[in-house]
Amino acid sequence: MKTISKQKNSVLFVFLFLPISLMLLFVLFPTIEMFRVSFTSWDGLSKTQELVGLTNYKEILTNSPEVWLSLRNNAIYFFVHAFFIPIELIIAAILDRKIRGSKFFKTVIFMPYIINGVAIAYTFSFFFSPINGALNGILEKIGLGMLIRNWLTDVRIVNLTLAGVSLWRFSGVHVILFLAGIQSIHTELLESAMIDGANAWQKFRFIIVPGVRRVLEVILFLNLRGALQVFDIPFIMTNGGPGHASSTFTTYTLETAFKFSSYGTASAMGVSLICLIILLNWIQNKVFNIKGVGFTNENNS
Amino acid sequence: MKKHSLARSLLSSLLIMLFLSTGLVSFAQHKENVTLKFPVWNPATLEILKELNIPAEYKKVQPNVTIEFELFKEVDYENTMKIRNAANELPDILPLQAKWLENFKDSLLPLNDLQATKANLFATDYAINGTIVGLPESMFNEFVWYRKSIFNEYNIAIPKTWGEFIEAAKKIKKGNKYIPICMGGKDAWPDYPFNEFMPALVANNGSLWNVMATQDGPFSKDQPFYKAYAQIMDLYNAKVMGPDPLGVSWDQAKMLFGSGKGAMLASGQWFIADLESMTNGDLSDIGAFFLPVREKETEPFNVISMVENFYCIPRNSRHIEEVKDFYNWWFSKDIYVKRMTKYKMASTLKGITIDIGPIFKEAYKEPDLNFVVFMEGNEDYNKIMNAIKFDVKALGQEMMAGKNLNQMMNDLNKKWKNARSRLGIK
Repeated sequence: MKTISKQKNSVLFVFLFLPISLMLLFVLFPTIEMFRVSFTSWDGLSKTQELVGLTNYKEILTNSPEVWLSLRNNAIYFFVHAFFIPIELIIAAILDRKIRGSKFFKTVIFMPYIINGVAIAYTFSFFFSPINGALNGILEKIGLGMLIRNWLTDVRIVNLTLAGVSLWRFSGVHVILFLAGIQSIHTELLESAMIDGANAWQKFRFIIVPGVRRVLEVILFLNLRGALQVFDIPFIMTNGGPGHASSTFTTYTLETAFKFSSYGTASAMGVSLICLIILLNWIQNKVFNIKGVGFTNENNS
Repeated sequence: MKKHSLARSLLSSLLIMLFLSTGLVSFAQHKENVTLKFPVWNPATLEILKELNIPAEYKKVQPNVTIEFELFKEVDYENTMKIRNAANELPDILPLQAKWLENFKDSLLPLNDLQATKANLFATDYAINGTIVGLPESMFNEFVWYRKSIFNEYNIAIPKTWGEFIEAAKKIKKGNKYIPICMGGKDAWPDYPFNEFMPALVANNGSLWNVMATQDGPFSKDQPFYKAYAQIMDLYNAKVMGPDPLGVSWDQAKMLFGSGKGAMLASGQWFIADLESMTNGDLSDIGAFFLPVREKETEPFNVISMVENFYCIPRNSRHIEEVKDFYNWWFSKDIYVKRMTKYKMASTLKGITIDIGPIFKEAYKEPDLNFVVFMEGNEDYNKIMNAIKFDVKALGQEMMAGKNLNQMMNDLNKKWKNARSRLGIK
């Protein structure tokens, strides 16, 4: 027995040693370093790192209007995506029914998620470009010239444009996750409801929505994390501009570190982002539990 | 006997000398092979360096040294070097822009005693606390490049004042055929001839940043910064940079100018390399004039002069001596003149004049030219700049987007004053 146990431990050790070592080296160590640097005024080049206590955190909270502007921009991504979550669920419910070409639609919907984010951002830059841009060209051709805008430079709409691109990219994966959730619902439930005379809406509201609650939780978390960490789309399409009009928390963190040599402040922003995601996710879960979608944790268990 | 012994000793001395010299030569030939990394941030520069066959040319001088180019995007260059510095992996040959010297100064080797330093006209001016950390390679001016055919079509004369410059652009705009001024506002940095240099031109002081670092309200209405930005606002408000200058990248802007769809483009002397590659060397329709910042013709015509491309040696380089030898060769007359003639840049070396070509000669004919040598900010300025994230190019973007100038300047004054007080700068 001892030999089997020893062998089991050896196998576990062999299999886990490399991934755990890599994780410690490339995840845990940099995270600890980030926490440490956040209490210094390091400029990224000096050999010395002076400890400044909580100064960087105070600076972020009280003396950086651009941080709040960036967070407001992050909020736009969050709400645009959140607004579309019910629609994504409805699309998933439709795709679950045996409609003609549903496989094709599933593939098409999922496709943007597997395309490289940088490529998407570049493609949409050309799509919205004021010079030979496809969107303005289409609007002009179909007689909607009055809708032509400076999509990426008008400070009033730039964030909505970028959030739209983000939506195009990530909605598909939400739909596929919802679809997986719907397909995990026991067919007996749906059949019983049908026998009891439930219509499509009633089945959707009282069986499908509660049935995908776990998936919904995951999607809400992904939405929150994604909205707070959105980077490639604004960075490539507008570089946070004009000025800081479309900067997000992460693009601004990058600018703080590299453009203005404030690695201490940028690290403090990184730590703040982790705290913010944890806090907002906790609040989101609380709100989610209070309102409920149908079932509580106890009911589920 | 004596004759024989003298001849014998002479012969043996000769043999010994021959042996020693052969030994030395063979020792020299067996020097360790070294590869020196040479980063470049401009593709046009790299093309010229390849055309001049720099690695092969240097092999003739130092057969054991191989020069290996690495191309970077200019926007990423400083960050990449910072990251490399953190990993002790800076390239052996390290060209830096003047504005980066202050940040990297602790990682750079003093070059005060280098042979190439003694021949340099400007190295001492850019010393940091008496230490020369980089050798400037070129001097150049800023120009407005223009299409002669478009100016002829609209019967426009070369503008001599700021008002005339805006009027010329408005006249082209009225024709509704060309973009008057091509601006790659999406990338922020292409607005530098206006937003970065004009305050120094209005102040007639290339060290304006350092003066501002000593003031609490450098953005007040009576200050050169405000005056310059008010002039820039007039230009941006005239909407003469196409329908959406902020939606156009630098690459798009230069293509517009290169293809003749744009009439003017403000940029440095270095832009000629891009122009030559875009027009296959046919520059017959291209002219250049200095940006007229003055309001009246009676005022002196202030023009920015830049000293750039500082060649540095990282302290931690494993091949310091080889790089020093390379720099002595790099700044030697033959190769320097060949290079600068291709770059079409003025010399920074004593006693060397470069023929920069006919395209610029027209601009230099202007009487009353007053060259203002632009200096990057000192340590105090950099501290304030980093503390308040002062970015003149982003300000330019905000101005193009229509932000209120007074509000912008008031905000800057408040931030500047707070930062000075917080940082204890007098």
